[in-house]
Amino acid sequence: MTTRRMTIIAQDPSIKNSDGEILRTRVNIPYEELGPGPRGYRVHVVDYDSSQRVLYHPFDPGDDADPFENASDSRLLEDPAFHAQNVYAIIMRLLSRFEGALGRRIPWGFGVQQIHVAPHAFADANAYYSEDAQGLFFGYFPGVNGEIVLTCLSHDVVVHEATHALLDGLRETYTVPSHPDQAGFHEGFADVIALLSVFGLSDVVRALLLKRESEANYIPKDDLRARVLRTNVLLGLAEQFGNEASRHRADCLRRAVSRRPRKDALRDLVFEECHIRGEILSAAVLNSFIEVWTRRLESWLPTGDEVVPIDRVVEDAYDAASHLLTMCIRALDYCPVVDITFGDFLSALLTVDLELLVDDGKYKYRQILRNQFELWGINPASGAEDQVRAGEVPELGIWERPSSDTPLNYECVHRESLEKDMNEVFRFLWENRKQLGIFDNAYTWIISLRPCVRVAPDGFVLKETVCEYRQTLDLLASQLRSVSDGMKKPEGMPDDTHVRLNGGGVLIFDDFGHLKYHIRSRIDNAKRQNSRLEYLWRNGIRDRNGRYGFSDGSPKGRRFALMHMRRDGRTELPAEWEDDQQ
Amino acid sequence: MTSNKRNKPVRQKMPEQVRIAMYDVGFGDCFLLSFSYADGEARRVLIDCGSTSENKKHMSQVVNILVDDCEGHIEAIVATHRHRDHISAFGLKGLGEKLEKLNPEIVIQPWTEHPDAEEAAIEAPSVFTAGAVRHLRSLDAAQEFAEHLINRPNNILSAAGPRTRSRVVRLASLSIPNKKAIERLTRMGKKHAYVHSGSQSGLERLLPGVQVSVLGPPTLTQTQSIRKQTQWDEDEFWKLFARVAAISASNIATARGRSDLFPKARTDTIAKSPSYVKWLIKRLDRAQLHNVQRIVRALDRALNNTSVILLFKIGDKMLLFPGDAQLENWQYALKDRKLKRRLSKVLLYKVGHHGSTNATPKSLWNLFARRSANDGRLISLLSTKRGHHSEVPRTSLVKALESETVLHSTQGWRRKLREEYTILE
Repeated sequence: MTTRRMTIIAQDPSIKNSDGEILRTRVNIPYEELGPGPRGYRVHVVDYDSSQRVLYHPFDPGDDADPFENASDSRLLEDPAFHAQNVYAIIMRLLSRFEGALGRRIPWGFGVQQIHVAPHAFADANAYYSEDAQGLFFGYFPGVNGEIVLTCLSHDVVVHEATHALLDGLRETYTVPSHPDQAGFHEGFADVIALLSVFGLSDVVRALLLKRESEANYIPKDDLRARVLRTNVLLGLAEQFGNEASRHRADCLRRAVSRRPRKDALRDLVFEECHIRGEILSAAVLNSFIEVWTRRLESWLPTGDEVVPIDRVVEDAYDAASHLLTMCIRALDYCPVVDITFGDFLSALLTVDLELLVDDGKYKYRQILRNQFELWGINPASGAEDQVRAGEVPELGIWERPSSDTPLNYECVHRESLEKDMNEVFRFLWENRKQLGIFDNAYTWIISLRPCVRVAPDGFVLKETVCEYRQTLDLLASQLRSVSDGMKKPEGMPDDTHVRLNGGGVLIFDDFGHLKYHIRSRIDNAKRQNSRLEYLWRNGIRDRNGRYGFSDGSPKGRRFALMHMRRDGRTELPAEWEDDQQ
Repeated sequence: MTSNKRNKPVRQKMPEQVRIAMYDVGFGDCFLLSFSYADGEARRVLIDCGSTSENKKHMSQVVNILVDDCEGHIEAIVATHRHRDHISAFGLKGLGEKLEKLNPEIVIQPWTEHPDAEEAAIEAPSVFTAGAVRHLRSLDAAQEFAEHLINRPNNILSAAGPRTRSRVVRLASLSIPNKKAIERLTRMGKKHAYVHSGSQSGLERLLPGVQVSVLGPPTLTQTQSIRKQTQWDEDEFWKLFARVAAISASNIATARGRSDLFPKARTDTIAKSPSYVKWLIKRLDRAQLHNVQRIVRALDRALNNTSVILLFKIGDKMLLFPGDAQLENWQYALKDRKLKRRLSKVLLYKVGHHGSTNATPKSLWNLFARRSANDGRLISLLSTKRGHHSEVPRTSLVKALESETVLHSTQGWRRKLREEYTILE
């Protein structure tokens, strides 16, 4: 037995099938010997409700067939054992999707292997990931009509929060104080994963595309126009949560795909809030998905017919979403270690795809992504037209390869050790610090070393080793100019303010131990550091000792909780208002 | 003739003397403004009368002095907002009646106190938007929550240590519904004005020669215009409501060890659970406690920000009474350039929120041109707790007030219950 099938709620309890029952599906997840909880090798469900101080008896799935396969709707809603199964199955499915795309096991961000999941953690319209409590916590609250809304039953909410945890495991530095793109990336990326992963559930897509019961196997062509698809439940995030917790919204918590693109959005202060900024990223990726999907449909839709076979439509959605989802997950390995921008992510997406598919293919994923990001004023961080003309990069938006003008020294390292020994990689880095342009007057260390095997859609296998190194430099504001001439402290910042500069890079080695890419964030990059410090200073994002760039001052493990609460109820003063005091 | 009459400037009756009495209510506010005219007439406005203190005897002494000062009648009562430290006396048996007998011509309260908000939403939709009505409901729900928290702290604050518990309960006690006081204020007065930024104060006819401007609180519609900085978003209030409702619902009927959420579900004894489960339970309890603390703080701030801000102008003298308005309330007023110019001339400033953290924003403080002036220096009145404290009044603010204004503060008072300051003579 290699897989286990478990019933989950497909979207949330408010989304029904044509019979008016909660839309559900069964998902395959890797088989493991589960203990009561369920408690597996990566996920441990502990059903404790801190508001009522109640510990529910753990659900023990044993080796039984899915006990909820034929359960009634009321049982799904009222049996906490099903809720435990629901979160376990969704998280394990997501984890296996990430591991499949990246070609390796993925760590959580807190150093141990099992993440806690509390499906009824507290009475609150909130759900979050806490690195301190090594867990994912889902709240519940009374909705408009007094019925309890359980966030653990929302597929989108569970995937969104679990993605925060996975991303933290892959890039722990993305929670370090930075400019607004980085926090926006955490939110936008989690939304993208939540929405695209639903398209892997073909029966759910089929059910949600068919509006009328009579349309058993066919769907009207009119329903496949991009404008109509954008309004589908499939592309709205957290329908029930959005409806019940936020009376101001029409149908869901977020529907980034319908946002009208604005080239100046990133410069607008309204878009500094991380969830709103994240919508820019998800709008660009999800509209790329719609465009690829509709291109695929156009390639075979018959002229004249008013209805078309639903199976083919669903298959196209599956393929397009799966390709983009894999790209997004793999791109993480090609993203900078600190201070990620949306332009960096775009370059990472394009590069990782090019590595596996030299030809952009029939549906032009890369071209579409470039265009959709451009509508929001986002250009790739690398690979400008002149670089393409000069032959520095093979295609627009791709990361540069190391220059052949400054050959790297490989004599000092053993190829095989480069795949598994951080000390060996550090030696490579140190010996080549001049060629790699590394500022050597900063604290520098290797934070991860990950060999991986990736498989292209055509079966081509790509082996790579991904290594991250990080740099920090702690100094006083008055000393910034000593790092780089153009570096300056924000206006009004006292000279004796403690600041931390971050830098680092990703080294990607090929199968032969040669460096393919060096995606770096130079610690002495004045433009990046100036804009980051200016943002932190303007918004008062500092730690409890008044230092800038170290942490945002949130209590340990409450960062994501507060991020949501700031958005939802502003239950604390924004930091800049704290400044505006006597 | 008619035309000449109309054009002829009418010399308006002006107050010859303006006095302000500050009463020692402990942690609270009570100010009486007296305007005396040449014909011997005096008109008075009471701004707040409340305290966090449970010492009724002390409050009774204050109210007796106040009533004597009013000589049996008062023109107006301003209840800046519904926090206990501003209106408690109106709800106290014996004292409330004495204040009611002053028979004010008008009672002024913020728009958020309109007793028929849902109907008012139809009458004045620009003020009472659907979001505003929801906002008011969320405030009510949050106050109920505060009341419940005080009555049953063991349920909600089980994970809290004694200091945290005492701090949360103290803060929540400010926000409990002062039903008796609110009812009396609604009953008192021949007229009521529920004011918002830019509205008429209702004092125009009652105080000849005095211009009174209402600077706050803004309506939700007004606040939308400063959207980026604001926390007064309709959606956000609804979420706060959802959050409060969730905690209230889950705690009101909860007995330990039994779930109201899934009554039929089997539960385990926490004490007998494995240590790795207890480890998580401890952290979840702590997270829950943080959540409750934040809701109580949010409620306190939300109520402070319903404060009426009044600016009195008598000749060239400006007197500013902002209640407990915090920055969010001030922000709408402070975007008005003309108003900022007027604020620069303020001669007397009632220090906002007893000298606490963000009720005197720098953006306001920096406007006061009379700070440090040799002649006509800014006068500040600080009604606050006696003795020295780390949080209220904030030490850095007190230092600035001492060095740059003529500060009168109840902080150092010993046996004194009242002081009076003459602003205009």
